[in-house]
Amino acid sequence: MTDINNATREVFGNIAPWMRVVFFIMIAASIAVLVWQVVSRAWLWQKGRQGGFERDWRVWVQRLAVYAAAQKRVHKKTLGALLHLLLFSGFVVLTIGTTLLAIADDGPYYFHHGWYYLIYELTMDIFGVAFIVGCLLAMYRRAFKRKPSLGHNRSDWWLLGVLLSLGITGFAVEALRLHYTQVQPGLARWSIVGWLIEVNLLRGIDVATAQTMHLAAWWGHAILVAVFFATIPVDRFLHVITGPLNIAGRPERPMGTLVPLNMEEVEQTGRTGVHRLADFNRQQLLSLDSCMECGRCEDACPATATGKPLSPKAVVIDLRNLMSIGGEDVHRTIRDETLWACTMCQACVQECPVLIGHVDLISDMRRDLIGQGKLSGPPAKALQQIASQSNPYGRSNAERLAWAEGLEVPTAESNPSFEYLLWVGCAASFDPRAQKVARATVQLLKNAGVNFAVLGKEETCTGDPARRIGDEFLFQQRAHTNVDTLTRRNVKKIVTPCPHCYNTLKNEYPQFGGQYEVQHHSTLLAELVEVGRLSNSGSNGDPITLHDPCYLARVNGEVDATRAVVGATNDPQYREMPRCGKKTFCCGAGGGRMWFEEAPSQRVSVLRSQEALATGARTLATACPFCLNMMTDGMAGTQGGENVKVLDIAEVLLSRQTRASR
Amino acid sequence: MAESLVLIEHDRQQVKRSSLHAITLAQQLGGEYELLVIGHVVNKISSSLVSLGATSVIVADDPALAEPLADRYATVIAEAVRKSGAKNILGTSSTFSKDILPRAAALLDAPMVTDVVAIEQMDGSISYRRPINAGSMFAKVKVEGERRVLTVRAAAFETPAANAAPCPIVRFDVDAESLPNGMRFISREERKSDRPDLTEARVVVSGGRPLKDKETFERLVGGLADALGGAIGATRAAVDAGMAPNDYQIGQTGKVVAPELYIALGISGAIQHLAGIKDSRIIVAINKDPDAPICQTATYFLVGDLYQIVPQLIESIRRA
Repeated sequence: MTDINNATREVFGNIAPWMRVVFFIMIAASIAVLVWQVVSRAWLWQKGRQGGFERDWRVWVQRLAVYAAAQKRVHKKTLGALLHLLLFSGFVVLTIGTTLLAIADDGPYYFHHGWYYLIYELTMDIFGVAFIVGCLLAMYRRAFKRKPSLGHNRSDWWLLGVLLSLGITGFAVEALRLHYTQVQPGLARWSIVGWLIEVNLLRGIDVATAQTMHLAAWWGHAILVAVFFATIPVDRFLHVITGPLNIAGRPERPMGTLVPLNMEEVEQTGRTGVHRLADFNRQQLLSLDSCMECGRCEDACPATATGKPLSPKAVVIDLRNLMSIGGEDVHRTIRDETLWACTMCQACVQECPVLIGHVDLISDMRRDLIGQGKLSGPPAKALQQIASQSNPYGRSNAERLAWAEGLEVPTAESNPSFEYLLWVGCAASFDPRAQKVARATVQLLKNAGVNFAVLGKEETCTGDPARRIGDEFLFQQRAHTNVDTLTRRNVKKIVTPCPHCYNTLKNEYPQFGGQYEVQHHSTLLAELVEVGRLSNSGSNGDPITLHDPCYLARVNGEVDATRAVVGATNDPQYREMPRCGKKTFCCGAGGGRMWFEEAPSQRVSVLRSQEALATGARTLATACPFCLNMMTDGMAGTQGGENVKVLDIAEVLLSRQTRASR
Repeated sequence: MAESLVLIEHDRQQVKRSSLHAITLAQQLGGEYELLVIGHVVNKISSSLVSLGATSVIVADDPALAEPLADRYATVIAEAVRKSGAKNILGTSSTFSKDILPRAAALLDAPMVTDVVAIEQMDGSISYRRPINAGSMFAKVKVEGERRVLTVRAAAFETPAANAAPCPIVRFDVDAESLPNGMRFISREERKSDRPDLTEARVVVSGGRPLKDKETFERLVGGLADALGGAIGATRAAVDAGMAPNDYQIGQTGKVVAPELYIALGISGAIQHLAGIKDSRIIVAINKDPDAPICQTATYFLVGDLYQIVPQLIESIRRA
């Protein structure tokens, strides 16, 4: 019988005391190299503006648990995600295991025996295998299946080589130790991999030779460990340190919210946004070093997908390189067209496993371009018109209620006891196509007997396009004006058919003292259907699909109400696009792109139309006036799209009222 | 010594009439003025300018100047200005002057004011009025220094009278060897058109995607435009589809027009297109979709098939 309680292993049995001293000095030196390298990077981060870090430790703990330990953003059905899981879990378990062994060996109480020891051996072996398989898959992927967005240098082969050698020498050391210490087979089996090597390869070797071989393998392994520590700060491996730092340190804030410029600070420094690298805050500079170039941001980016000169990954890497060479002027490495190409759809931000804020980086640099007067053409005109006419279309704000002709829409003046303020938005007020959405929404609210009012000509642009384009002054001016109006009209609840107005009213106006209960029209309409105040007679049998607006679905997480309104759950003809819900794909209008000129080959709306057409849908429903505009255009310009109806969900629902009442 | 020098634009056959409007500003600024013609074999052009009240017409005629390459033209202008001592260098706002005059201003180290619509006396010196914020406001601009480069909005100044006694034509010798050589002329694409300029026409007929192809577009949109003596415009979609050239595009990313009569054929009325026509006096839309958004904007909205309606319309206008 094997004596399980006495089962244990030697730790430094084969290593002479002087060798142990050399070993510890070597490890200490390599850790010193690691620390020195990380400190030299941190020196670069602290050149940024003070602050920017999340201060609440509970947020750190929660984020580290979700994004660092559980790796929420890494999981995907891809080879890259699988191999990362293997490498990460192997790395973590092996590191913890080795540390435990060191504690047991040097600590006052030797717990490394008995069942604990046996389970320890088995666990270490299983994760050791995971680690090696991860390394091999990573090598295979880099050699044969490398997607274009994945960063790659020659040094990656060196990194993977070190990792793989660590795993292999680890098992060699184990097998030789089992052999020369003559562990009983009943116990040795728990060290499954080492035992298999021992049984199959080492049986004929005598103990003395095995001891020598063990010493050699042990030193090989030890030197690799030292090399590994010293290698961590090189290249993309640094993310094992900077990734968790950025995950914990990124400030907590709703996704669609940009940080307000402090006007007093601007007056003092004369700077709007980021011109020099040091104008970024320290957390932003740290975030540059946390990127390991996995390319997920680039894969999700509509600008990259349509051949525009923007990749969110390249922005991060270019800035990091600028930081490494001690450069200052960010515009020397990031071109203006790159910054303007962003639709601010936040897909990159949603994808990034280490929570880099690409959109904040881009927004900060756009603000500097605006400050320097670098914007011209239609988008500049839109900004001028927001300033002069209170809407980006340059129409007289006195015509703001033209869409409501004949509908007898109550205004805040005529109906001061309204429950809901219907915030119409500039698009639905002035764009003749979107005006129909405003009319449909009003008809539905009236049918349902909702007590609502509109502001009429007191309503002005929320400033969303101005803020996304980078004109923070104009945005704040709009925000202050609108918050004043809403306060004066005693507004509590707001409903709006525009996801951009919705996001700004809900997430950004609190920065300026405006606190309201804000709903997108989809949620209110869904509620009214739910309680039976509106009917939903079901579809007319036409295949239908839904395009989720970024600022509704991805940014604000609202995906159920739109589906409820178009009756997705009980409509056998309802189709879902591959990119849907919170993982939707931009229409191309966000970030002020609505007002930019685009070559036909670079239109995001065309890509998205093809995706919608592939579902076989004859109706494309959306819930945003800009998506409506873009997708109508995209469909008209796509083979087979001419006959697809592009409608707002309110129009879809209204058509079902009429049929029901007939 | 002349006070002002006016750059004249031409298409190698004749003077561009709009470039004469800058002469009116030269007259308002006071003092003598000279006209500058640059090109190759431009005798006919320069002789058509002698009765516009200038002290002389300066002609820089050289094979090296046959094409309007900005670096060469700017150098010639700068040299001519240094020789004549003119204080004001004037041109009319156009792509030609936008390309060339800023370079000349840089060479002369002179400030530049573009799109001048009027001048005023302010505190003993002259200030220039120019539109800003997409024309919703005007700025009064004063400039420092001895010389200044100005461009004018043609619509803001009258065409000068051509009844003065003929002035001499003075040849300005150009050393072709010393001219800069940074740009190379590759080719010129010209549209031969008798139709009026899109942004200045009183009538604009424009077409959208339903026109299908270039030939149909020309037959229906072009036919109706010719019958009415108007210019042709197009939507972005029509331009993308290759039915009409790029410079016909009207809208947010194209030209902005404000004719007396705007006729929209097969145009649904996307807000981007409406941005270019909202100041038109009368908008007539013909569309087979009664729900087309343009019906909100159009003064007259005719629901019907443009393939039937437009030929009938052309026919009846021709007969009238």
